[in-house]
Formats: sequence, C-alpha cells, structure tokens
Amino acid sequence: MSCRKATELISVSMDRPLTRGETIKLRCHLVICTACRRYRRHVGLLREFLIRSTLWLDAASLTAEQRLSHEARSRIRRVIQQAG
Amino acid sequence: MSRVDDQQQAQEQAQEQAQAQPQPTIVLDPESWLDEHGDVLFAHALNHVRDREVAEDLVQETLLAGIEAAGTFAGRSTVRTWLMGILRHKILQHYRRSRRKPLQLDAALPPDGVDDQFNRLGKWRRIPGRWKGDPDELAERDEFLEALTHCLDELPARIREAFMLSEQHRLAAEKICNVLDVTATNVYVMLYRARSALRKCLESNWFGGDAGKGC
Repeated sequence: MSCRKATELISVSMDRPLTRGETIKLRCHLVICTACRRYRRHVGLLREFLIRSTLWLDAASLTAEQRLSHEARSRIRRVIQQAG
Repeated sequence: MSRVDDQQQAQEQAQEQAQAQPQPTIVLDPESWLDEHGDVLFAHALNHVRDREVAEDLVQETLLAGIEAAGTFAGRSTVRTWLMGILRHKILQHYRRSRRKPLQLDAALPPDGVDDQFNRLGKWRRIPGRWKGDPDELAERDEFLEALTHCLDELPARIREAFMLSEQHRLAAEKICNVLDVTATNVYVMLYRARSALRKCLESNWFGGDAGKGC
C-alpha cells in the first residue's frame, strides 16, 4: 500500500468504520511507516482543534470583523422589536 | 364511605394537587439576546457562510425563530446553546437553498492540495514533522486560532463547507451528501483533501516540519 493510499484510508476511517480488509492493510502499513503515523496523529489533532475552537468562541475574544456592525445590530434590533 | 373518610380523601387529594403544581415557568428575555449572544452567533455564522450580509440574515432569522419558539425552551441547556442549535439548523437550510449543481470533482479542484504531497509512486515527498503542543492549550491561543482560520480560508469553498459540516456540525457523510448534493464517495474525497490541505498549511504556518526526504 502506498503512503498516498494509506493517508486516504486514514482520512476515511475518521468518517466511517473501515472494513476488516482495510483495517489489516492499513495497520500493516502503519507498523513500518512513521510518516503516515504522524499523518494520522495530525488529522486527529485537527479534529480536536475544530471542536475546541468552537467551544472557545467567547464574546470577549472576538475581533472587530467577527462582530455585528452597528448598522446590522440596529437593523436586527428593529426587526426583533417589531416581532416581539 | 363515612364522612371522615371523605374528608381524609379530600385532604389527600388537595395535597397531591399542591405537590403536582407546575414548576415556575422559565422567564426568557428575548430583548437581551441580541446584546448577549448576537456577536457570537454572528461569528459562528461567518465561519460557515463567509458573507457578512448572509451571516447577519442568519442571526436575525435565528433570533426571530427563538422568539417564536420561546415557549418550548425547557431550560435544559443555556440560552446560548439553545440559540446556537437554532443557528446551526438555519445554516443547514442555507446550504440546501444555495445548492449548486453536483460537484464535478476533477474539474472543480486544483491539482494540488494532495497530489503534490506525494510522488508518482505514492510516497511522501516530505515526511510530516513532529507537532508539539496540547490541543486544549493551543485552542486558547489567539495566534493559533488565527493560523487555523487562515488555513480554513485557503480551502476551496465547497471543500471547506464539507469539512465544516463534518467537524463542526458533526454530520455523517450520508447527511453531508444530501446537503451538498454529491455522492458519498465525493464527500470522502472532499474531506480527505480538506484534511490533507489543512495539515500541510498548519505545518507550514505553525508547527514547522522536520526537513526530511520522502520515505
């Protein structure tokens, strides 16, 4: 199995369970390939970063671009007040 | 029955009724939602749709939907979590409404992203480096989040959409198919390209690689 193919399987394994055959082939490759083991660790970390970066979305730490503009805020306020 | 029994029964019934009274209703304050949660909702929407006007509309729709559904808020989560749930639903609706033609994979994606990381035999051109750092600690650092956001921005739009649906919305591949109107195989390929491109970008912009030849 090439490293290219192994990295494809590693990615797929994050989205669905691998078949038995896929699992065995991938394990054999990972035993001998440091590069692909690192790839597996890295894409796992990526998932962790995404999960945590959503959680850390805290009002105080937002940049100006991430906030509603004055106009947008006023506009939304008017619409909400009419509805509420 | 005797009158004493009747009285006893009436007393017991009254006690039961008193104990069974409904919990005090949760008091919601929709007018404060825009102030307390508007920016966070907006920032989250912007992560997905990348267009300020669309994100503003999504925030507005979310708050209106929250006002309408205020009676159903059971208090099991915080208001922020509840509104975020509504927003996620609105984002999914937005993806469906703006659905384009099915993705022609080979034509739509630039040749690199994955292919240039491997040689013709499928071996790594550069071995991935060692990544140092703890996810909890890194996710708190603004500079790291900036690097991550930059790398997400570099992804082609459809690839990023698929990736966000998977990693932030926690949608299974079959659901992502429906939302993006592509096959399951396409979804797997898009997620693979997203991960490989992000990995490479973060390695360049943050972690640094070991200088190493392919194996």
